Amino acid sequence: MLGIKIPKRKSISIKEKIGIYNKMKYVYIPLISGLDKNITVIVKKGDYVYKGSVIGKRKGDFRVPILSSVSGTVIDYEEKYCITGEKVKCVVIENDFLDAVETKNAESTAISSYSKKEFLKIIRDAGIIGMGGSGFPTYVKYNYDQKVKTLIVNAVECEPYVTADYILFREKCEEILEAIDAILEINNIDSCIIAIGNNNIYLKELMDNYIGTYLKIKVEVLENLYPIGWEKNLVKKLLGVEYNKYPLEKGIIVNNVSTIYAIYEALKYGKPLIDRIVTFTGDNIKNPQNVLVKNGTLASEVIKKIGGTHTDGLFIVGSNMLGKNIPTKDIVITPEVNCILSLKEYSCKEPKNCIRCGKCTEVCPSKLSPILILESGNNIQKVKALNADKCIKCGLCSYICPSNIKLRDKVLEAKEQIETMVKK
Amino acid sequence: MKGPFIKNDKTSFKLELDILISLIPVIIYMFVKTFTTSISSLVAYIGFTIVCITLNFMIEMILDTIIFKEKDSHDNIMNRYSLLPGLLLSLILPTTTSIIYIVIALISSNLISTLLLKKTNKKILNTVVLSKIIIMVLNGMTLDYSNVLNTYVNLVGNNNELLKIIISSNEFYPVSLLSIVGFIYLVKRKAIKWRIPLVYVITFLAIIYVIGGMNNLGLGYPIFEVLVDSIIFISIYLAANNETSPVTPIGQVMYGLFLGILTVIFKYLIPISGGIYISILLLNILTIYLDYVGSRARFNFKITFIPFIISWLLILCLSIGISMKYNTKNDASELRSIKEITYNNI
Repeated sequence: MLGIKIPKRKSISIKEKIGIYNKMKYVYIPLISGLDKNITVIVKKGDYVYKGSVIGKRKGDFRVPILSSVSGTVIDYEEKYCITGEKVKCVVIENDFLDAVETKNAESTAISSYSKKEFLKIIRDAGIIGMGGSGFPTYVKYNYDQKVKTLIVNAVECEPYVTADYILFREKCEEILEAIDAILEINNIDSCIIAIGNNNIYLKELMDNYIGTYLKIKVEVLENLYPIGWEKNLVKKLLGVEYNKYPLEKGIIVNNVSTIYAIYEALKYGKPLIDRIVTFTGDNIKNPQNVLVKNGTLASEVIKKIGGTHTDGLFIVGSNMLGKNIPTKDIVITPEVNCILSLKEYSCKEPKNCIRCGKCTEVCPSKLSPILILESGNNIQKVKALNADKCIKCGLCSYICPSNIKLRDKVLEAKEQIETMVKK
Repeated sequence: MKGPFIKNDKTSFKLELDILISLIPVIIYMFVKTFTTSISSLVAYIGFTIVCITLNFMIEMILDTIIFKEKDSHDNIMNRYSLLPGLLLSLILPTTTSIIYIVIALISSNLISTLLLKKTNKKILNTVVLSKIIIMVLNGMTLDYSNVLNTYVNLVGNNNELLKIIISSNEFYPVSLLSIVGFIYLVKRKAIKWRIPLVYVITFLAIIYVIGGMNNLGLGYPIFEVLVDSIIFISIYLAANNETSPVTPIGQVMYGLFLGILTVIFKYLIPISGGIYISILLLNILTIYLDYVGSRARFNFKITFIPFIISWLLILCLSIGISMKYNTKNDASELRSIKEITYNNI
């Protein structure tokens, strides 16, 4: 099953235009890339940094720089909550509001004229990572030898509440199409499919104004299901192809639309990934809207600016399906954060005995049997045989369970057990 | 607090309510049918239904709270115990059933079921089905080896009067049709494991279609057998019972398939009264295995090859074997010629 219909509650945050928040006195740049905290810090207290200066580098295979989003002075190191739901050491930079840059890049007129080598260097140095939540370095996806047939641009945004990609596409449609065309040209990719949800049919109408110019690009409208935007689901639905670990195995690259726009800015203006559009929504926010926020900004500051509260009720980073509840009610914005959700209340109902209706098994997009994983308890061999490690954390099993059993937590526990066993 | 921070509004109580709603047409039909006999019959029928529901409810509660000390002060009684088993039992038992037998059956079935639940953490056996079997045992089970195909031949006589015969000779076909209505409602409400009744009835139909076909009985025979028997009702409300059937889709398909095969075996080869209930109980025991296969088959379909090959072979062997065992070609042609002679004489 590719997904089910769930209440999306998106309309509340698309009424307003994209807001901009750049009044933060301090930014907190987390020393983390994806899930990797193995970072080399290259600045010290008192150093002056420019906007886009490298302040840290990821070690290991995926070398993505961590960049400063403002110009100013490094004043301290502090621990703050970030998207992973845990505290991470951050470099605190005092903003001088000058937006000073080390070297000003000239605007490129033909972004498709870059060579593949130049393209890879630009997107790597710009610190571009997957902005759909994965945080996977984008240059790694394009650093291949084999023939790539299809680029899939994921603009489905199937999670409830989140409208950041929709708003970006609505406002920057022409630029996104130009970027896609350039990516196809530079990387010698045959074609591109832009996937949108049928709840965003306006985007299709919008693209129809331009799409005639781009012969290799076509638009596919998908049913408004959750989690149809999950990479494996998307590839299967659009191309009928299944893969094991990465879509590249089958000559396919999947990019989120925000990532495509980040690539555009990097190619066109030499701008590194230092900001992103974030949806601030929920019934605790007075005017739910999308705001362009610099990396390292505290979410609480933005909420204060747009009106609303983050201290009462539930503070979630991400959507109400995939998101994490942050107990301190504040978080640092990073390129992976697409939504801040502040809800008045959510009461978790008492779990009851399982009635074995099989709904969890029916809806699981990873084909797992959550209730059987739960019943297997701590028997590692059993949970391994049930492929608990294939869980994508979509939460549909917990959502659908009529007995209110927190199945996702149990499956994730099993997944952790397997991962620990594999590491040993 | 961990996510997701949104919940589907379908609760287990609502699922049960859906099943109860889907049963309303059948219940109304049963009441109307009894009422047409006499008012006292209707009163007796309503009384019987209430007794079955109350007895099951109380026995379940007593066993849980006194014997197994399962009392939970946070849980209210209506959430823990269901009205459904008692109601279903009242629908599949004749109103003449002794109350003592019902009490014995309910105590035994709930006791066995709860003991197994304690041991395995799973409700393995369907208490309604088990109660029905116990009552049948108490009443004395019999084997009837008379030629089951001849019942149909004698009734229809190959004269294509199927519809007329069904309507005039049997009281269960409206229940079958109303059960189909209930099934459609349950599928629409996503409150049933729809694969089980569907595969079950199709398997049953397919086998007896071959049997009927090899005996020149045509399509009428399987339709007759499915409509006049309680198989549709049982497949929807007892075989597809949530707690005792597989949770995995492939497990559910295999469950329906084997159930169809077993029902045919019990109908034609070991024609014991209530063979259909024994089939369900046997498959209940196999549920754990079917889920084992079903959960792994979602990643590696090859592991279902053996069970599926076995089931297809069984279907083939049964269809041919039973057709040869119950050869009615001669009976049917004899019957037809007798009828023709009688008609010509008139």
